[in-house]
Amino acid sequence: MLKGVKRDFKGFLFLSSLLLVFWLLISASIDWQHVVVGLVLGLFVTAFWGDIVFTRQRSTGFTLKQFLSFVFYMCCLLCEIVKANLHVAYLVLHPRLPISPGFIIYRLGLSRELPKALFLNSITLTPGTITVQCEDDKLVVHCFTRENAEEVQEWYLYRQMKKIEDGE
Amino acid sequence: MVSKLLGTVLVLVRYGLALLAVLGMVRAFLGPTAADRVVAINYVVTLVILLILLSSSREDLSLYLDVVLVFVLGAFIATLGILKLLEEGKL
Amino acid sequence: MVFEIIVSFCLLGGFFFLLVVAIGLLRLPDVFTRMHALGKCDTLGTGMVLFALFFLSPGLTEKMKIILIVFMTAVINPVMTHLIAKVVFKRQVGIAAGTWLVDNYGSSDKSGGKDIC
Repeated sequence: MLKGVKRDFKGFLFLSSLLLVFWLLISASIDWQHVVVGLVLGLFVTAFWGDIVFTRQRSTGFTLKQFLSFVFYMCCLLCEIVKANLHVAYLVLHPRLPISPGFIIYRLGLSRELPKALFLNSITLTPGTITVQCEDDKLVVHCFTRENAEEVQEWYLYRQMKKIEDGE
Repeated sequence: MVSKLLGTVLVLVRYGLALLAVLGMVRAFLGPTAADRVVAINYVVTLVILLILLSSSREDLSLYLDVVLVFVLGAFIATLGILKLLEEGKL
Repeated sequence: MVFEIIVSFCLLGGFFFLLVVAIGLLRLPDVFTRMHALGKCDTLGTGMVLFALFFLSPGLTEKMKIILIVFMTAVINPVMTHLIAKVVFKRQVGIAAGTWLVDNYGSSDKSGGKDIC
């Protein structure tokens, strides 16, 4: 039960504090009893499921620069979401429905799990594409039009996420 | 405290969302495959969440927010169950 | 007055995107394209309506909970879309005619492509 915790102690503390914040939001008060119960429950739940969650050898941790560039990434993503939504609205409301749907399979260069999950979610949210399947580095993406398929392979958010992953 | 413009918009949006839920149910009824129905029901779930929040008055908003939190998680688990059933043939 | 206009704009904008999803669900040809409408416009529409409710809600606790709900829908929606897409892609049923497939995994050229249905 405690193997996963030993493997990644920082990640264990991080996840426990996230659960504590969630508990405090639900209980809607910062009385000391609520804090103690939330702390104990968070630590217990994270330790109990630790073997499943912390499977990688590499431990959790991030620098300030990575965090700041992640915030910048989220701002860019918000702009892109609004643009993509207007694009989809235009395509759907167009009387002749100018779409040419299709799949594209290509290679993804990200290796760590959290950046990969975030990037795949942003693919689904943004440029006329949805993630279908991702095994190791083989990525299957469904595209709305042909132009989207060419755009998504050289997308600027991908380069940004790659930078965040490498820790520059 | 809510003015006339805002009150009108709130009522209009409430009725409009109810109408959209009907359209979503039409797709869930027509849908040729099971996946179409899952997609349509997901959409209806989103509309129901918004309808619960918009129709609760300002005093009980806190109460209904807890209901909505549980509803979101429950709908997510239900969809996971349906998809597992579709993929493997058993639960 | 400005406050009311902002809130009304958010409500009507969210309603517009949800309307786009409904029309898309009825008009688009197959399940993948319908999921495009669901996965994108649904997230932004819910976000905008909840943003208006964020301004209307009375206390700090309610505001925090609304932020939590926005965050949860923004995470859950793409995950659900991805799961449905994965299941349908594996079963290969209900894909519209004329859907193309380009494989850039093995080779590096970007031309070509073939129809799978």
